[in-house]
Amino acid sequence: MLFNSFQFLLFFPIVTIIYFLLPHQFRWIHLLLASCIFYMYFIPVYIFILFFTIAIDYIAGIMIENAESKKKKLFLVMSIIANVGMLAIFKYYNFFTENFNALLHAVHIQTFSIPLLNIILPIGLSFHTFQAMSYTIEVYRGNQKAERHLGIYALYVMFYPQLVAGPIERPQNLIHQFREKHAFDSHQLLDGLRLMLWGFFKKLVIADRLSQYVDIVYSRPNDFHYLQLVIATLFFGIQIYCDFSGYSDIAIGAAKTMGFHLMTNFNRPYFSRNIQEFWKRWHISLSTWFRDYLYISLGGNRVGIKRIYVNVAIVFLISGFWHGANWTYIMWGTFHAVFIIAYMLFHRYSKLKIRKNKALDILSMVFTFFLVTFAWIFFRANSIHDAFLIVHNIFTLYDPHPFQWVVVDMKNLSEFGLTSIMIGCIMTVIMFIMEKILPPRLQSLDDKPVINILFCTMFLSLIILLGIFTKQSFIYFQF
Amino acid sequence: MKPLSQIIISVVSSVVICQLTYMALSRGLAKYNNHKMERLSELFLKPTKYDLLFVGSSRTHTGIYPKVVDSICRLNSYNAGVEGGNLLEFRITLAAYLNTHPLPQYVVLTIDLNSFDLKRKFFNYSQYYPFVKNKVIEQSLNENGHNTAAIKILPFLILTGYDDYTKSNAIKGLTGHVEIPPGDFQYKGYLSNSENQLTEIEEKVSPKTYQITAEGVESLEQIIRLCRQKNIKLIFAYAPEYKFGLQHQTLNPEQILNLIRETASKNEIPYFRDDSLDLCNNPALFANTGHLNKQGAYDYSIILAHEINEVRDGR
Repeated sequence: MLFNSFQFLLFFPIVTIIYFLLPHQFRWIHLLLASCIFYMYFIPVYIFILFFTIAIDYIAGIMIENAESKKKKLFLVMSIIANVGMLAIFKYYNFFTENFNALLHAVHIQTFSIPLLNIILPIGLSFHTFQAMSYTIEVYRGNQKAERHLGIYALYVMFYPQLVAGPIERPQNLIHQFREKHAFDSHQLLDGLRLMLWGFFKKLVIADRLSQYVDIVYSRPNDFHYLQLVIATLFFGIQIYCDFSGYSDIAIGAAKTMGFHLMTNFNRPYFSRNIQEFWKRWHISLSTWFRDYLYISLGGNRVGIKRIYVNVAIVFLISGFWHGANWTYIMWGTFHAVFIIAYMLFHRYSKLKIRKNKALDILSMVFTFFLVTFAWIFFRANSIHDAFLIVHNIFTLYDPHPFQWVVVDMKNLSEFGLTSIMIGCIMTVIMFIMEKILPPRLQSLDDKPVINILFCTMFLSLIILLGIFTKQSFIYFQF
Repeated sequence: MKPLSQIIISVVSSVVICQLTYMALSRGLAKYNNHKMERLSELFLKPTKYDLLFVGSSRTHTGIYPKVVDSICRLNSYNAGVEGGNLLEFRITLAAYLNTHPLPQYVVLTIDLNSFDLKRKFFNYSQYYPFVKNKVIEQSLNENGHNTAAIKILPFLILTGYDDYTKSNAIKGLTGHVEIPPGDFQYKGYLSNSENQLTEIEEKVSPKTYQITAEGVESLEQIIRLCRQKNIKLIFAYAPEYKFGLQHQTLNPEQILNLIRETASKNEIPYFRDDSLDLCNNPALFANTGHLNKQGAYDYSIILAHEINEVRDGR
């Protein structure tokens, strides 16, 4: 089920109201059933994949806890293989097979090719697999007790607000909350709804509006003037932020209405002054996952400097690959690895001593934004060929037609393209101003009822009046 | 102030703001699209009897002039072309029309290369909301995920179906503008398409593939069944385009045109392929590659009227 669907408009209040009406001991059943319904709106049969991983990791958790130290590792490895195996089959099999077949073709072996699988990627697979892996690793490290209650463990993996696109929760943060009794709290309800509203605003008013332009330009990049490629790329940078952070806000808000606290996933990343800071503020639940479970496992900062750079490169390459089985994502990850390593080198060897000031901060933010936006070209492009074509066309000031022609060509936007773009830009400015003024969870509005009412009224009205309700997905669902 | 009060006040004030905005915008839109409202009312609410109905996309809407056809065929025709329409919308238009009108003798269905592609089911679904009194319209909207019950309770929710184009038109309407530019007119559903002539710049479009969706094919089958049940003579047409321009912009034109031809042949439906008429080589008759201009529509309507007469005469 999509958050921006009519079904969710009914589902959410019904689930929340029933949650508070039920006695505490039945609430986990209710949430689990609701989560199953939420997930089964996509492809019902895929629920069995979830059940399978839940069963594996539930058993693995208990076995890891009960085992002696040597066997612990064995059970952990087995659980990781099972989880990664699911990803390998559903997400990466066709990628590797296609590339292998292409390699065979390149060396003139044309009589043999491995068949591809005709399967649709289960929605949110990478998210709940990583969340499940987080559990077994934490049990292995002794930071989390193995959960004996299968229902509670299943709920940890399946909790509907964060099931398909995160935040990727750690077991220490979430599991105990399912055991706690949450009394109805109108303050939390207000906080949750307000955050959901903010998420919907970012998603429906900004992301989905800008995507209309981005989709057209990126579907046929060679038909467009370099300025349009630049605009579409900048728009995509804003679109993906509003789409994904909007989803996270809705998820965190929906959980909060029932008294659950999910981790913050975005902390105004486009206000970062360097690329390292960007990764501390963007998709925090994933970047900390990679830090805690991969980077540290590779030695973290305790190894030599060269090895640190290698580890950073590995983490970002895998992070790129996590996003999708396509060379575009691998290139995206590679660019970020290069940026981070370059920054680390600069930081380490530069003798420049620059006094901090506001102008420099702004300059650094703009520079970081452009670096990140440049990498987004590879993330968004339909193929690696398209990505390099876009980069080439931007940097060679490609000009296929008179500039205005493209606006006429934008069938879906046609003559109202400029109006739509203008609204998108104005709303983006409003969003950035609000994000600059307010904290990530808008807590500062709690004790200012008048401002709170104005905020909620304004953004609820803007969503209804300016929202795009025809777009039927979130970008990160595909991961 | 208690949080619940804050929530209630915020929701109520938003509803009031949205309802007021909706009232203003719908007024503006009614003014701007006066001709469209009049036309859709005629199609979906009125009981007028017509002998001949033209169903299709904007290529029908702006390309077939009933006045010309009526004068040659001695029939009373109406142009029911839907802007951006596909076969689903054609089916809905025809079924909704039949729901309120006496049966026509003939239906000319113009099928385009993109008619089977139902990735976007409705080009502009919100334009149908004012006509949910027609049960076919209401049912079709509901079947395709556009909830009409919610709209009945909270009318401002119609705004969620308006795109920026519609909203900017509504604002234009409030400032006294109308959609039909000076010199153009609407007559029995036909909308004249200016005196603009084709410019070469229109040709620069990358070719794309149009899908033949199962739902598109089923919609066509339903139209055929509907006409057969009601004893309406169905005729297929492929509207003129400048020098096969639309086919050049499509990667799979033959696949689609063959499907139309085979369906026509299988069901013994006359099929006019009007893309190789002489007028298709004259840029002075086209507003753009796929759409005739005012003079083009006039000329084509004469040809089409004679083609219809041939069918009537059993030739």
